[in-house]
Parts: sequence; structure tokens; C-alpha cells
Amino acid sequence: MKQIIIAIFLIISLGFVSFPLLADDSLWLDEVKKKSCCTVGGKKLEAKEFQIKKGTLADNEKIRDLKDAKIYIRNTDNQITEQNLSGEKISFVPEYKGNYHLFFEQKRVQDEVLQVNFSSLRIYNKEGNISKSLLKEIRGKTNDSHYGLEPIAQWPFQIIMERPIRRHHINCCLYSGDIAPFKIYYQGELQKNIPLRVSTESGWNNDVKPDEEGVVSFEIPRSTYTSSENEKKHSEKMIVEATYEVNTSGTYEGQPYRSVVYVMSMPLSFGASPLEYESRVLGFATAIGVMLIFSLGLYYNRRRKRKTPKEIYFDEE
Amino acid sequence: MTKNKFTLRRAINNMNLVRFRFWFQIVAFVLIVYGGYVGLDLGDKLPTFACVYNGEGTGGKCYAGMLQHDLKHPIDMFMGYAGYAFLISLGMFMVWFWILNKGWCGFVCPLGTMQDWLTILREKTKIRYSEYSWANRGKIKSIKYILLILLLLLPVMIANSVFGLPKLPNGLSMPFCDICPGRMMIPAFTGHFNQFYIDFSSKTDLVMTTLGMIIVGLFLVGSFVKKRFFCYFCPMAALQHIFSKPALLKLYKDGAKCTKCGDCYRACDMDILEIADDVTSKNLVTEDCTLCLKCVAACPEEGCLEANFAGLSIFESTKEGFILRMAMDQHKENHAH
Amino acid sequence: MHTEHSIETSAERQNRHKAMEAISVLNALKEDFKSPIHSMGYFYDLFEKVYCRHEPLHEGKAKIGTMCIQIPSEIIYALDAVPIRLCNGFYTDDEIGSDLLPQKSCPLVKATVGWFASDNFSDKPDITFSPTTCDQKTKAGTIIESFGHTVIDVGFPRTKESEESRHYWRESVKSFAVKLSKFQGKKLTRSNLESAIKKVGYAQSLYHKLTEFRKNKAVPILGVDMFLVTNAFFFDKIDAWIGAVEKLVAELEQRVSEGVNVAGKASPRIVYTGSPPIFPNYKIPLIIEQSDAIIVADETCSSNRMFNDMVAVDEWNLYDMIDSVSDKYLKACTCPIFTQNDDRIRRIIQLVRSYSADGVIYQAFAGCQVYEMEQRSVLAAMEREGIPTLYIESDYSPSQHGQLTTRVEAFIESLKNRKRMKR
Repeated sequence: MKQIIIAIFLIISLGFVSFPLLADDSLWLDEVKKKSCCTVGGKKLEAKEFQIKKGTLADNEKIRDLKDAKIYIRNTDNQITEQNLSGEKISFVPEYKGNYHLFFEQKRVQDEVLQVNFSSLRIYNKEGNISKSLLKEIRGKTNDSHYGLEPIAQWPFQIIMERPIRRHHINCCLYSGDIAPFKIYYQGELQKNIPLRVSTESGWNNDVKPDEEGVVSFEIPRSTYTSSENEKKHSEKMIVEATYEVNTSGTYEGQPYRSVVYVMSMPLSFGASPLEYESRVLGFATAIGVMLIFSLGLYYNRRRKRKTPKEIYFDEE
Repeated sequence: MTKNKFTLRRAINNMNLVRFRFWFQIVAFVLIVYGGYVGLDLGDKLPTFACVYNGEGTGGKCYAGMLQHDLKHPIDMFMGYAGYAFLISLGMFMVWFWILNKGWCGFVCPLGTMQDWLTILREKTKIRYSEYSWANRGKIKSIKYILLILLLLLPVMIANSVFGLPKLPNGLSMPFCDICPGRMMIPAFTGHFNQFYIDFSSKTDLVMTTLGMIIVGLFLVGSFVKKRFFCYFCPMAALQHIFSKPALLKLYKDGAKCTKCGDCYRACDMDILEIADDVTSKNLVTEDCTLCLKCVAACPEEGCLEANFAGLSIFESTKEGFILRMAMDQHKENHAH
Repeated sequence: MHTEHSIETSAERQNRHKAMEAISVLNALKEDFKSPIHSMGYFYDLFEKVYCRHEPLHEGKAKIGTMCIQIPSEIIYALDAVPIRLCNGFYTDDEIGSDLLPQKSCPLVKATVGWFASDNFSDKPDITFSPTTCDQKTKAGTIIESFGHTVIDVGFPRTKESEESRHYWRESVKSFAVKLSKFQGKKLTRSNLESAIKKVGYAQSLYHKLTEFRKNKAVPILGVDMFLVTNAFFFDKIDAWIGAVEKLVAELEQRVSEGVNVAGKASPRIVYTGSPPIFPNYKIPLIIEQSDAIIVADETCSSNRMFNDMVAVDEWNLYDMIDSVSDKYLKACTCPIFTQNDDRIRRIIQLVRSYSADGVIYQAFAGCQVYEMEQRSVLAAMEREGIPTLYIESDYSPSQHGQLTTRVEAFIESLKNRKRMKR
């Protein structure tokens, strides 16, 4: 009897202990979305603001002190600028219209272990500075790809997202049902044995292992969110994370460490798959139905206008 | 004899225009539909259909899509960056357009090329083509202007409340792209049939995508029986016609030489009456004209029709050219075809 | 002495008179002008054969008579028949026809009706198609039928700008093709119509080559010779005609390189327009060229108009070829039977400009209502353009010769004066 109670207690405490293990604290970049009220005249460009969040997607808080952190900003021309941070806000003024990649880095020594936290975020800027981006506007480049880019030189450890495999018609964003492939690089080399931890806002967590070619891919889960009847096209957040430990020693800002742990997170958002509210079969059926009706109508119209066959002494041969 | 002298001008005037145009269209089609795979990017202000829904393969984007996107801004944003962006887009479109005038329709547009392929298929199967009666042809001319106005107006009305009317739902955001047959057909050539769908998420999406499916069905059958069926309704043609006057490539007619034989009208895919019956105007690029130059190739009078690029006559109708093209230059007993 | 007497039958007398008319014109052509062309011998022999010796040319083939230029010869060739244009130029036949038609009628129609009435053909048409062009030809159809010939009317519109008239003519041509193919017992197929179109097109292209030579300052061929060549197309075998014209083109090229001029250096260049001069009614063209002028171009349905416009086909399938053929015969036609005549005026002006002509001679048959009525607008247009024009009326009777010569010579003198004044 006593052993059973102890066993139950152990299991419960394990559960308590492991629960935080399962839902680890993550650290990621997040954009502070402003209400679009105040763009009058548009002469002065809005700065974009970001913050660092820590915790889980369901339960998180803003980090207030960013003094050990840096941010790298890669613009549409693949130029990288560096910015040291302080306070709790990160802001920069994007000059061109297009995709910007932000890379947040924070290093800290804790218990003789150098904790390096990376987080990368892609944002799309709708408006740019017109005088600087005149040539870009004129050029009108269409392939502003945000997939499959090279890892930046400044970071030794990085997750890169490749082009997702989709079955539906929308090219721009991520949707449930898509297969999202990732590659993890260390020192510029593709790593084939680091698992990827995925967690979504609705509580789906998973560890995905890479295949023989080093690509980690998983299908974005479909029906693990509460379906809302009123809005079919809602979006949800997801974080993809990887951890890598290296046994090198050194000092960082006067503090010695014996190993380095890299943690990289990439926050993403995805929407409901368009395949849920669209019907391909009906689409084809409508097109083919219209074609049949039109052709039959034309055929009968021509038959009616033509003289009876015995009058015609023509031959197309 | 000067008659038999080879000159470049004579060689061009005698060329088989139909064959030249066939191959030119294939090259342009490959560039526009598959160019993206080799890194070709002609920009997003092209005066021809090059579908953004084509994904990686597209060699450029059509200006109609850019136009709808540019206009979907609230009016105050439009006074700033968005307005500049719109003007720059329009300017680049005009520069691209002025090179070939309506020749973009006749030689480059992939939808036009598809229609010409369907026409070739019909010709091989010996099915007779359909023609509009003159009265009906006049009636349908205004449809492309109506579509153009809707293309311009609906995105504006989504972001702004015009004349106190409520804002339109976002489902109408790319109204022409929803109904354009290029959206379904062009990605089909890179193997993606995923644009054939009906969207049930909201009423406007349902209506627009159903319209799109109906129109692609009509497009396929219509282009089979009527030469260049879709071009009568194309808002890109309406937009281009507005800017057509200062363009570089022109079609000139010398009315004094015209015998009104109507051979040019017979050859014209768009059944433009003015090319045969108008003997006073000089510039004959009418609103329906796709500058395919079939009329110049079919004209038997010397120097009556000519394709003129920036003042230089590049392709002229000649008697010799006509006789060669109609294969009437030899005395054969039995012509096996 | 017992000599064999036989009284000439009326047919034999008619043939003799016609032969006399024909031979006098042919002799004039052969002998009255300088630098004769060797290749023209074929044509002189041809006319002699057909009109003097009355030898048939088309034995064994179906002969389809056409009353006017608008019946598509391509379709007739495609159905393995021979088109024979029945427009007649003989005064002999005109006299016969005068008894059958009103006095003030067109001499050409009278001659044709007289010919049918006498039923004296070397190549008799098995069936005749009569398009409803001018009033007199339209009514002549039933008169001819009353003599026992088969005549089929083909409806031809009097306007050509409207959609209905063009559609009407297309339907007319289709029904003509159906009737002819039933008569022949053959089908109109894609390949035979295509080769017919190309053959006729080739013949037309040869004519174009010929007329290009007339644009030179030193004209190598006479206008009357050109009329003879084109008249031969009315009844000759097309392959033989093509062969002869090819030789003629080669000889003319030779003559151009040698600088041969059949006219004088200061000869005024004339554009001849109006009622068609049909062999042997070459009175006026002969007078013109005997008076030291040269006809460089013409706008007549017996000559230039048969060859000027070629059929253009977009899709070489039967549905398009038939429509192309019918469109060519209607839309480009500058016959005065239409309501509007702007096309004819523009054509004459264009001919004057491109052949560097000095004047226009407009000849109308006395009794030809449509050419006489168009005289006003054509003369007014010529005056606006500053082109000197002479309007003459004539008919087939040989009595007018003196009057006509005076008028023509006076006109040509005035043209020569103008040229001298300009210099």
C-alpha cells in the first residue's frame, strides 16, 4: 500500500518536474504591432518596434533588460547592420519595401556555461523611404525570396527555413498542411543530427529529427486548434527551436566557461489551410461544365444554320 | 536586274510573317512562363499577362496585378509613399509599353499565344471559325473599359469609403486577378493546377472564384471557335489603348493606295473593319488591334500598309511579298497540300 | 460552165463578217506600229484561230459561260470546267441583237444577246451564269434563256459597304458553287480549290509583272497589245495563256534592258477607263495609239480589273477559301453598278500617279447608263486633282470613226502642249 502511494507521488512529482521540461522556456523576437492610426502625410517613416519574449507561447513575458544583447538587421540587398541594444525596446527604421530579417543575439555566462540565445524573425515592410528606394521601385524585382537564404557569417549556429512544400494555391505564407523544411547549420556546415523542437500556440509540441540529407521537415498540424466558425482564415503562432552544446572553454566578459550552449529560436505564424475552405473538384467541375454547355450550344447553333447535308457539295479533304 | 538583288529590306518584306510570329511567340512564352527558373526577372510592371501566381517560374509580373495592389491604400497613405509608388509603377509601365505599343498583345502575351495555339488546333481539325455580326461587335467593345474601371475602382473602394458608401470586403482585393483566365492557365503550364478552385470562406470569395472558373471555361471554348476571343474583353488592352498614341511601334496606312479589297480584314484576328474600310486615317492602331501584322502580310498593294518603328518603316506590304506568302509564285500542275 | 453555187447560210455569213472585223484589227496591230513584239505572235494566232477560223479550243471539257467578271473563275477551274467570258465586241452580233433589244441599249449587251440568238459558237457554253450586275445584263438573262440556252442567275448586290450585302454575295457564291458542282457531278474539295486559287493567282501575278514594265519612261508594250493579252484570258486555256505570258514577260525584260520604246519620246501617257474595249472593238484604243499617245494603264473590267486584285486566304480550308474568293470579287470591284464610286475615283487617281500619266480618257458606251451617270463625279474629281480628262461616247458602229479621231487627236494635242508648256 505504502509503495503504491510512494509510486503515485513519484509519478506526480515527475510529472511536475517534467512538465516544465516538456514546455521549456523559449526566448524569441516578437514584433510590437502598432495600430495604423497615425500615418498622416506619411512623410516621416515609422520605426518598427520589437521586443524579446520569454516563456511559452501560451504564457510569456517581455524581457525588460537587453543590455547584453545585439541585433543584426539584414535588408533586401543582403546588407547586414549591427546594433547594440539597451532597455527593453528594439527599433529600427526600414528604408525599403520588402523583406527584412532580424537576428537577435544574447550571450550570458551562467554556472560556467556560456548561454548563447539566438532568435531570428522575418518582417515584411510595406512602405519604404521613397527617395532611397526609387531605383528599386522602378526595377520592380519580383523574386524577393525569403526562403533558403545563406546563414549569416556572424552567427555560428543557425536554423534556416527552406521553401515549404504546398499543395494549395497560395504562394506567400505558411498554412497548416504545408510541409516546412529546415536546415540547421553549425560553423557554416549542415548538421544532420540536431533535433528541432516545434511548439504551437494551441499546445502542439514535437521534436523532429532530420533525415539523411540533414533536412528537418514536418507537416504543420491541422486540426489541433479550436475551430472558430466565424473566421475561417485566422492565424496562429509557432516557435521552432534547436539547441546545440559544444565543449569549448574560454572566458566571456571576465567570466570563465567550460561549455557553450547555443539555442536558436525562430518564431513563425501560419494560417488555416486554404484546402479547408476551397474545393478543387467543384472548381474543375464548373470550368468543364461551362465548356461543355458552351460547346454544345455552339454545335446546335451551327447545325441549325447549316443547310441540310444533301445540298452541300463541299468536302474539306 | 535590280529586281533580283538581295537586300535586307526585301528579305524582311518577303518573310513568312505567320511563321516568324509563331516562333517569336514561343520564345516569349518560354521567357515569361519559365524564365524565373533561370533567374530571369523582367520586373513587375509588364504590359502583358505574366502571372504572379506562377510562383518560381514567372519571368515577371503583369501590371494589372500591380495596379490593383497599388490602388488598395487609404487615401491618406496614398498621398505619401503609396502615391509615389503608384506613379513610378505607371511610369515604368508606360516606358515598357511604348517600345512595342500593342505589339505586346500580338507577339508576347502568353494568353494570346495560348489562344493562337487553340486557333491552330481548330484549323488543323478543319472546324469553321465563328464571327460576330457587326452590331454585336460594336456592343462588346465597351466591356473591356467596364472591366478596367472596375479593376481600378474596386481596390480603391476596399480601402476607402467612396461617396459615403461602405468599404468593400477584402475578398474583392484583387478583383481582376480572381476572374482572369491567366491565373488558372499560366501556372498550368508549370504543372500547377492548384488555381482551379472555388473558395467558400466568404460570399465575395465564392462569387469571385466561381466567376473565375466560368470565365476560364468560356475562355477555352471561346478561343477555340473565335480567333483571339478573350482579347475583346481584356482590360489590359483598354489600359494600353489609353497610352497608345505616343508609342514607338505603329501601323501606318496609305489610304490612296488602298483598293478596299478587304484582304487585311480577312486576315485580322480581331475582325477590325477600319483596317480595310478606312482610307483617310494614317495611324490604324485601333483599340482592338494587337499589332500582329497579319494585315500587312496579307495586303497585295505596294506600300499600302506598313509597320513603323520610330519613323523607320520595318515591314511593308509588297506585291512580291504577297505573292510569295500566298504561294502563288509558281506554276504547279498538282499542288499537294 | 457549170460552177458549184451554194448560198451562204446566215451562220456562215455571220462568221465571215466577224472574221473580217477580227482580221482588220489584228492587221492593224501587227502592221501599224513600230517595234513589234515577237511573243505577241501567239496571241495574234490565237485570235485568228478562234475568231477568223472559228476553231474550237476546249473540246471535251465543260464550258461555263459567264456574263460578267464577278463569277468566280477559281471555282469553275476547281470543278474541272473552263470559264468562258461571253462579253462580245463584234458589230455583226450587235446588229443581230439590235432587233431584240431596245434601241438605246448598251452595245455590249446587244452583241452578247445577238450572239446567243444566232447560236453560232465555236466553243458553245453548256451553261451560263449571269450575275445581276447592270440592268441590261440582268434582263438579258431571261431573253437568252428564251432562245433555248441554260441561264442561271446569280444574285449580286448593288452596294458593297454593308454587312448584309457582303453576306448576301457570300451566300450567292456558295449557292453558285453548289449548282455548278451538281451540274458537273463533281465535289468542290479543298485541294482542287486551293490549286485553282493558286493557279489563277499565278496568272494574275504575271499580269502584274507585265504592267510593272509600263511604269517605265520607255514603255515596251502597246496598250492595245495589253488589251489583246488580257482579252485572251476570256477564253484561252489557262495553262497555254500562262506559258505565253511568261515568254512575253521575258521578252519585255529584254526590251526594257535594250531601251525599246513603242511610243515616241514625247507621247502623252494615257489612263484608259470606262466601258470595256472587247476584241475587236478596239476602235478608241487604236485611235489613241495611232495618234502618238500611249496607254500605260487602264481601269476596265476586260483588262486590268480581272487581274489586279488577288485572293488572300487566311486559313487554307474550304470554309475560308470560298469566303475569300467571294470577298475579292465584291469588295475590290470598282464596277459603276455600285451606288458609291469613291473606290473607282481613288483607283483612277492612284493609277495616274503611279504610272505618271498625263491624262485620262473616259469612254462610255452610248446606252450604258451606269458609266454615263458616273461621268459627272469622275470628271469633277479629275478636275480637282488637276488631271486632264476626255469623255467620249461611242458604240460598235463603224461610222463614227472620223468624229472620234478628231476628238481624240485634239485631246492628245492639248496634252502635248501642256507637256511642252511645263518644260
